[in-house]
Amino acid sequence: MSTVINSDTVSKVAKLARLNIPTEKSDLFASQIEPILEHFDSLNKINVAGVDPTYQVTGQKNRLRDDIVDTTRMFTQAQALANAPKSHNGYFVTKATISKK
Amino acid sequence: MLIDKSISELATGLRAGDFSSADLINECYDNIEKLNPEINALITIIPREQALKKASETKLTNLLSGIPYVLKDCFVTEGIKTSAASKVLENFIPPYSATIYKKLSQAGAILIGKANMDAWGHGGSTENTDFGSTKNPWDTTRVAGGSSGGPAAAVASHMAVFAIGEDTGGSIRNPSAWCNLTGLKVTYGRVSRYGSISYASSFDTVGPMAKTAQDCAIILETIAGVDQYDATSSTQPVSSYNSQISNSKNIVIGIPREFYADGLDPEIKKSVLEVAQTLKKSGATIKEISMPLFDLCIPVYYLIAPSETSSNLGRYDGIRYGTSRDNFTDETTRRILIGTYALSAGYYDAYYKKAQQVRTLFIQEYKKALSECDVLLQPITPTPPTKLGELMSDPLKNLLSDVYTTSQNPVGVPSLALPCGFTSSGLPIGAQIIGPMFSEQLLLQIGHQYQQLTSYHLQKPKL
Repeated sequence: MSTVINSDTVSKVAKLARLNIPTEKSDLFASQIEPILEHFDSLNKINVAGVDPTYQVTGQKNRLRDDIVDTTRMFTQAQALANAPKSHNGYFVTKATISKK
Repeated sequence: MLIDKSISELATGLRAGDFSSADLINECYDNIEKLNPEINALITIIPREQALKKASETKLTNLLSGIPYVLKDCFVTEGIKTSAASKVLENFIPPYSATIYKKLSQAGAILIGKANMDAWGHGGSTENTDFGSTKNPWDTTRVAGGSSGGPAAAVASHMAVFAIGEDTGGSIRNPSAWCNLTGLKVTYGRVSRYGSISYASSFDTVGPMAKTAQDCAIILETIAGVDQYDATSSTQPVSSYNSQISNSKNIVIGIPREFYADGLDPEIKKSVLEVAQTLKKSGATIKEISMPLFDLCIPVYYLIAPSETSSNLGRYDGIRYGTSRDNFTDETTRRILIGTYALSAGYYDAYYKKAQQVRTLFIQEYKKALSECDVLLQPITPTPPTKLGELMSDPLKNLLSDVYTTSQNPVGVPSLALPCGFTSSGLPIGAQIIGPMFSEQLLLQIGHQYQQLTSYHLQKPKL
């Protein structure tokens, strides 16, 4: 499953992960990640046909709480906004996600 | 020093009036003032007066009442900065508290600081931190281990009686080994993760780091148990770990030969295997076994953990709290990139899903090994504490140094890290004892028994 990781791959994945990586740094990350992925190729020597994947080890099914408001875990508006870099009239301020034109 | 005493001795002394909680707290702060500028174990120090005030209001209701401790800086504490050692959270003041902090506060334990770590848990040396590396109290040119390096260095240098760490792939055990502490990676779900800043949610565990197995038993008794706010916390009843600490039975110790092959420092190999010989004198049987999947633990761990972390760290958008995603370190960025890649269309089956399938095989392998033996004896680190900067220069080497501590978290089994010797140059060596799911009681009993027979855990660094 050897895959060549180049700076384009890094840029594409960085975009998926919402990371801004300057082009000159993409090359460096590509050269560092490639040997790591090569090391992962050792998984290919194992036959996993018919083996179920394990996503968690508790063996528990969904645990639901009663649908009752837990007031001890509620934030006031001031608390919720206290760490926001920018807020306005009780709202979080974000960059526009839809362009004006 | 007072804080060289075990928690049970301290609790007895506090009740007899031999000394006060304020005496203990002052001793810790004196050491923090003297040593933290060099060791850099703590990111945030609670003002001394505040800790003393809390102590003066504390009744001795629990063995931890009045005992000063530190939390790894990945547990949210209402009103106290919580950074996960990342610039992304450098100014984050949580509006709520983690269950671990609430439980310890209710027990009357006194929080005195938030400790340094590899940012988000990403590392094994506490060098991947935006707050400066933590130095090893045994040799300040070397790392303290990680990711819970700050908690380990704080306890080893007498800044606190105990610490709470978090272990996703060795983060409690590795710094315990390198700083000569006893640390417990609990069974997944034994201790609530609510309010613990997530690294890899299906591997993360919260546990004690202290001077003895008995100290860990006392702490675990207070912090374990089901939590309505963590749906992965276990409903299994919590044992009275401390009152049963002296019980012992004749155990079979498994030595998985793959864990002692090439790549393990010969002095470490000798000291770890010596643990079995010591326990043999008190009735244990030694059995050599095989765990052939061993060399796949790095791929399995380093595919699943970055995948989960890429998802967990997606929440840091710098809008509701925290700063920009541009502030992730290179190590964290690499892990997000690897995880996002492994989860992306076209690679999911080959990487992420395959790792989760091999994880199933690991579970079967541990089950088989632990049906032939009661516990497994394994090394924790392939080398003694590395020099500052040594691991950071080579990302792959950095990952490979976690080889002995990354197979347990995907399986969920508990592991107790114990001091078991020193290198010829005087650096601490640790061993880990692994048992079946929810076998903390047995592991702590074995650890206690071992510490009755040895004195490695009593050795202190010269500071």
